[in-house]
Amino acid sequence: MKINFTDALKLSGQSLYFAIIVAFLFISSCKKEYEETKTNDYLILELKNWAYNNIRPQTLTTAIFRGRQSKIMSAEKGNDAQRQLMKGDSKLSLQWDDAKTYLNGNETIVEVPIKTKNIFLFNLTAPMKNEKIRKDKSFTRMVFIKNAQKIESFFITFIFDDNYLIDASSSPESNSYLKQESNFSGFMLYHDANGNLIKTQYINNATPKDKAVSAKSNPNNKLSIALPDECIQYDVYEIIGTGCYDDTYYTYCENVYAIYLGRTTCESGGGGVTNPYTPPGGGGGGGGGSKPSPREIIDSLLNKCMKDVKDILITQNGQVNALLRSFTDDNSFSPNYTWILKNNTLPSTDLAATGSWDRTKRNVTTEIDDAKFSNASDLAIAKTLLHEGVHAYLVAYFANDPLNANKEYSVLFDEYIKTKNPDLNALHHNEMARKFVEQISFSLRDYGNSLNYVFSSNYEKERFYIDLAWGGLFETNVFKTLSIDEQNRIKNVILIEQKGEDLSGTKRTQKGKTGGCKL
Amino acid sequence: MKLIFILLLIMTSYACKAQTLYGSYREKKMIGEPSHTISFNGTTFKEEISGDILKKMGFGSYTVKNNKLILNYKDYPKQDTSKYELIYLNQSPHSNIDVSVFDLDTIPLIANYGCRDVRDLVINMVSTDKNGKGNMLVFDNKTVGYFVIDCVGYHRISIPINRLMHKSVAIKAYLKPQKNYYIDKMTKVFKIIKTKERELILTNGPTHYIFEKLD
Repeated sequence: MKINFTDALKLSGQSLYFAIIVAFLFISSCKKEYEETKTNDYLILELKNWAYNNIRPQTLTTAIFRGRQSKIMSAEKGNDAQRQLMKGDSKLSLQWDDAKTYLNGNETIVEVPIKTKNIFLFNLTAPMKNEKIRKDKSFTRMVFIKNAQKIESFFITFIFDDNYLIDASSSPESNSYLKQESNFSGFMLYHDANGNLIKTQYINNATPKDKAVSAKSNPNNKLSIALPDECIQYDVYEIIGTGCYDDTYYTYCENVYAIYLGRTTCESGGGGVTNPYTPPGGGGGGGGGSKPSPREIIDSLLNKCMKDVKDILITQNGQVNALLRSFTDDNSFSPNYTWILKNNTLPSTDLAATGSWDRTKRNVTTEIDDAKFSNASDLAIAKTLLHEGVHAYLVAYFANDPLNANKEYSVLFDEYIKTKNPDLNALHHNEMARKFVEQISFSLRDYGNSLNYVFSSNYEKERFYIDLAWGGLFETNVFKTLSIDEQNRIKNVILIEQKGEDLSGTKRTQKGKTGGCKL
Repeated sequence: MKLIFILLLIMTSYACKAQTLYGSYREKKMIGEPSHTISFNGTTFKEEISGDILKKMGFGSYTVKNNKLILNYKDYPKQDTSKYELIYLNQSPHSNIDVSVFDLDTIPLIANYGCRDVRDLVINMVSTDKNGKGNMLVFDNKTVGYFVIDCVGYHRISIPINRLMHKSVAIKAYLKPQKNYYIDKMTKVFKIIKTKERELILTNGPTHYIFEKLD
C-alpha cells in the first residue's frame, strides 16, 4: 500500500487529534478520581454500620490519642509540668451529614469531619500562658476507605503552617486525604482507629518533604510507612481547652491543656512517632512486655455441637456477635484478644465459667460443661455462648484497654469504685441485665430465624428470645424486680431449652433443634 | 412434785441448748444457676457460691438456736490478695506518693489510684499512665482514710493514710487477678423450716432455701 505525503499528513493529523482527545479524556478522568463526588446515602449507612461494629464511634473521645493521665502542660500556669485529671476531654462526634466522598481508582474514600464540645486541636508546640489559639490551626477527620474486599478507617489531621493560613487564597477545609491545595504547607498526622499515631508527613507547597508514601491500604491492613528523604523531627501535642469563645480567627479558652504525644523519628519507619505513653514491648494499652498472640477463638477442645453453633453466631450481625468477632481477624477494632473455648466438668448446676485475663499468653478461657447439654437444644447452647462471650469480652477489654473500658461501661465502673468489696460477677451480670439482654435476644432471634424456627406469632417469638436471653442472670437486681410469674415464665423457657422439661419436671417440646451434645 | 420440777428443768435446758450441724449441704437449684454449698464443722462454717467469673467464699462461726441459723461471717482465712511494697523516701509536710503498678509478673499495669474517706467512699481517683506510674500529693487532713490502688478484675489494695502521711513514699503495687470474692464480715439469720439428716430448709423472708446433704 502506498501512502502519499498529503494522506500521511492527513492521517497523522487525525491520529494527533485522536491522541489529544484520548489524552484529554485520560487527564480529565484522572482529575475526576481525586475530586469530590456525590455522597451516597446507602454508602454512608453502610459505613455507619461498619463503624458501629468495628470502631464503635460512640466510645471515641479526645482521650484516645494519649494516656489519660499524661504529662500536661497547662497554659494557665506557664509550662509547669504537672499531672492532673483531664477536664477538657470531650466526646468525638462524627459529622456524617457533612461527609465528603472521593473516588480513587477502585476505592471510595469518605472523609467524615469530627466535632467536639470543647476545643480540640493538634499542634507542634504547646501554647504559652494567655496565648490565643487560631481555631483553624488544625482539623481532624475520620477517613473510611472502601473497596470490593474491605473497609478500613483511620484519623487524618491537618496542621497548617501559619504562612498558609494567612494567605487569603487558602481554603483549609478543601484539603483532603487525596489532594491538598497547591499552596498547602503543613503537617499531616495519621492515627489509627484506636488513636495510635502511626505516621506523620510534612508537606510544603503541596510537595511531600518526607518520602513517606500516601497511606494506602496494603494487604496487612496497615498504613504504609517509608523512609523519608528529608526527615524533620518534631514534637506533637494534643491541645484541648474548656470555656472557649471565638472571634474571627482565634479562640480564647479559660483553660488550655497541651498533652505531649511524642516526637517523630527519622529512624527506620521514618514518619513514625515515639510515644512516651506506649509500654515497652508494644501490645495494647495496659499490655506490654509480652509478644502479642494473634486474635483468634481456639475451640479445638470444644464439643462439635458447640463449635457448630459458635460458627453460625460468629458470622451473624448483632452487637454481641460483633463482640465475639473481636476475638477474630474479621474485626479491625480490637487488639489481639484470644478466646479459648473448651469443655470441662463444672460443679453441680454450673453450666459455664470464664476465667481472668492471662497477660502472658494474652487470652481468656471459657469452660463449658457439655455433659449438662446432653438434652439441650442448640438455642440453649447459643444462649450460653453469647452470655459467656460477653463475659470474655468484658474481661479482655478491661484488662487491655481499661481507660476506654471504664468510660464505655461507666455504670459498671462506677459500681466498682463505689463498692468497698466489689463482686466482679455481680458487676458483669448487672451490666448484662442493663445493656445486653436485649442484644443477646436479637442475636438469638437472628440465629433462630436463620434456621427457620417456627413461632405462633411475632409476639411469642420476641418474648421467647427475650426470656431466653435472661439465662445466667437470675441473681441480678433487674431480674428480681420482675414479678414472680414473669420470673417463672423465663425460668421455664430456659429450662425447657436446657433439659427438655419445665420447672415441674414435665417433658416439653423445645423451640430449637436438638443440640446433639452427646458425650 | 420435786421430780416433775427436775424433769422440767432438764427439758428446758435441753430445749435451750444450742444445736449443731455437721457436714456439707448443697442448695437445690435450677441448672444454670450458681451452685451453693455450706459446710459445717464444729462451730465454724465455710460457704462457696460458684459464679461465671469468680467464686464467692465465706467463713465464720454459726449457732443454731430457737429454730434459727445464725451465720456470723468473719475474715476468710488465707485470702488471695494483691501485694505492695512501701519505700519511704524522706519526710514531707504532706504525703507525696509515687505509685508504680505491676501485675504478678512485674509487667506494668494501668490501674486507678486515689483517696477514700474513713467509710471507704471515693474522694478522688485517677489513672496511672500506660507504664503503671502515677503520683499524688495528699495534704494533711482528717477526711482521707485510705489510699487505694485498684483495677477492675484485680484485688484492691487499701493502705491506711496514716502510714503515708508526712512522708514521701514510693509504692510498688503488684495486683493479683481476682478469682475469689470473700464475703464481708456480717451476720445472716435464717429461720429453720426443716432439718433432717439429708435435708435442711431455711427461709429468710419469702424465699425458701432447700439444701441437700452431700456425702
